[in-house]
Amino acid sequence: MSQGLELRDLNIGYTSTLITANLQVCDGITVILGPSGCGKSTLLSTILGSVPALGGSLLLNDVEITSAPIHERRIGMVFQDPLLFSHLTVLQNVMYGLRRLGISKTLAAKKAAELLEWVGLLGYETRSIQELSGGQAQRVALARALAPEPAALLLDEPYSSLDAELRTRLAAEVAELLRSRNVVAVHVTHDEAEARSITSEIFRVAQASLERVTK
Amino acid sequence: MIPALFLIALLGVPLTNIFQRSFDVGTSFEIAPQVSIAFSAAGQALVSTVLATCIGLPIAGVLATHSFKGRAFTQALVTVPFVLPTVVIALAFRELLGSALAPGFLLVVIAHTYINLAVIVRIVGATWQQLDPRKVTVARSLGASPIRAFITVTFPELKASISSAASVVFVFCFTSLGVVLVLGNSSTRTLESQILRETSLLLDFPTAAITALLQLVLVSCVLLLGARTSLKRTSAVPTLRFTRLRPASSKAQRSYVFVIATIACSLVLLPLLSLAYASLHNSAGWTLQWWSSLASVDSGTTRLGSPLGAIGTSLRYALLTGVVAGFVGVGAAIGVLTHRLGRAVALIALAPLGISAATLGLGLMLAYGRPPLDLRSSDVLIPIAHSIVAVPLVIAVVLPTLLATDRRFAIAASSLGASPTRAFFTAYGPILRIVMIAAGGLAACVSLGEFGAASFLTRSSDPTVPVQIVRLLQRPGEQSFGVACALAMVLVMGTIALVAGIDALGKKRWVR
Repeated sequence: MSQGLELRDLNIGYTSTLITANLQVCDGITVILGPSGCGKSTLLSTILGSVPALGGSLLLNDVEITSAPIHERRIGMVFQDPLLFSHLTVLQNVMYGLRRLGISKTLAAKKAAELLEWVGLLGYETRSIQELSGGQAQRVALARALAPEPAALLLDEPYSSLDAELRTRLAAEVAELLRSRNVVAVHVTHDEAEARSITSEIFRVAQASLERVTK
Repeated sequence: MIPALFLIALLGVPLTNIFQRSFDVGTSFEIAPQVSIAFSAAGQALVSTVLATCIGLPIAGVLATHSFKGRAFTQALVTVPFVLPTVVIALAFRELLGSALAPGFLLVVIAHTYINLAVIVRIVGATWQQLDPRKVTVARSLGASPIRAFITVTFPELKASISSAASVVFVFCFTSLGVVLVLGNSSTRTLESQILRETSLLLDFPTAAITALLQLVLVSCVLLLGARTSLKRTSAVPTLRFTRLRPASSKAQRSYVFVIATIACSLVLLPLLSLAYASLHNSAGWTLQWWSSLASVDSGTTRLGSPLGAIGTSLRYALLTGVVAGFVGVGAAIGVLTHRLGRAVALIALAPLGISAATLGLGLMLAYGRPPLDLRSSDVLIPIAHSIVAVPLVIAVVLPTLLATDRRFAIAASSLGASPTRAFFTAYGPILRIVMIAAGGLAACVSLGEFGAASFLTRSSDPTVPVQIVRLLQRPGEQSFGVACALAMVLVMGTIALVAGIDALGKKRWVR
């Protein structure tokens, strides 16, 4: 039995294989490094289920999910852009996943407010998305992704649109928050310094596969 | 200035005439029949709008978000019904479903749904294409099924364009004339057909004027409501971005795309194929009889000319409309760019969108179709009416192209000593030539298929093709129906050729 996320010869690509990935993420954050266009985001999309795998298998907590639909995988994702739902308030955005689980409105609102407090945005519940700064929006996106308690979280260069100071601070904060919640996460970036500030578990996309980066 | 004068003289004067004539109504006049017709037309328009929206949305979604073989063909094909004359489409449905369904509500609704699919697909599809598909992925990762993700994420962001498109479709169906005349019965009248009835059958011009004013008020209310909802919703969607079309990723998605594209193509082609079949078939079997009869005087509805003569008349009017609407529309669009009052002129030029063709025809007939200024015997009244109908479309096509042209060319030319006029034509001249031909072609296309205004203004001896088709259909006998189908096919081919030509010009513009 292995807990966490496991990629076994997972073939990633749209028409032809870009990467054949073998990876085990048992706890904490694992970072995948690579230049633009090498297939990092496609790898995350395949784990999420929005791009079908061309071969191999994907297991989450020892359960095969290679061909499971996205909404049944229990994997959350935070993109480069916050992608908040603009017709909903901050609180409603965080409540979205909880409501899909069938949790009552009152309970979902309570839990969403706790998460907003956790990401330092208590008091922002009724604000519209347009009123948030880039960093605040990305925090809401993180709270929203974690609200339904996913078994794994995928982070696709989530801080790249932020300035350097905010990026470093937020990356460290989020890594700490994820550790405190025992959520396994795969974080992709092209920035090696950012990768090293997050974790020591770093892999690089090289020769169409994932290679561990040693210090 | 010229576009402004054109519109004031040829839109303002007729509307003033309608308004004045409405005061001539007698004391025995009752509004109840008009209100009753308005209610029944609104019911019909509502059902047609809901159906067109429900069928159009999945097609718009597939075309806006997926790349697949035959996508461009499907998109072009779905647009075809909208550019085809309504009379032709009505005839196609009469041939396709006439033996199974009696003229009435259902046939009218089906034809309206068919015609207006393109409005939904084009307007909603344009917004849908700009929505970020990753938002749906986020919703799915948060546990939403595909349908739930559509309802909770995509639909709210599309609401503005859906309400905008739906209000346009509602107005088209509410003011329908050709379809109602060919496929309707006494219970499916619209205010538009009532205006025609009051004018040509009852010769009651004051009542027709009141009916036209009532329709004008109702249509303006619907369009304002649509615009208001649209603006309100737009403020809630701050970021739209162009997203690359993606191929369907899963087997289920591929099947969905295939099914929707196949249904869309079949829906569009079926009535047209049925029309082609009717033009090549008689009770004995396959025949070219109806096509060869087009040149015969005996096949027409007038002893003065053959159905082929109607084609000549329509082409003549289309050419005049192309030239007049092209110049006026492009002039108004240039006015927006160069003159401080340009936007006001463009706004006036867009007014015919809310004025039905029958209202326009009635107004022109009252203003310029009787002494002291009787232009009905000349060839100018119908092209004028068609130009007024076409000018808003010309502006809608030309203005975005001019706005997208880099103004810095004009600034560069000015800095090199060119006068303001020369600088303008240095920057916009090359594109204006192409745009004017395309706009003229579009206006000609509108003219070829226009029925509402022509039915008021056409001379009995010299009908346009759509008017000739309706007259043929009002006569009994296999010959009249067959010739009407052949004539309709000529119109289909002419319209498609014109649209293809405009499309080719558009592509040439981008190649430059």
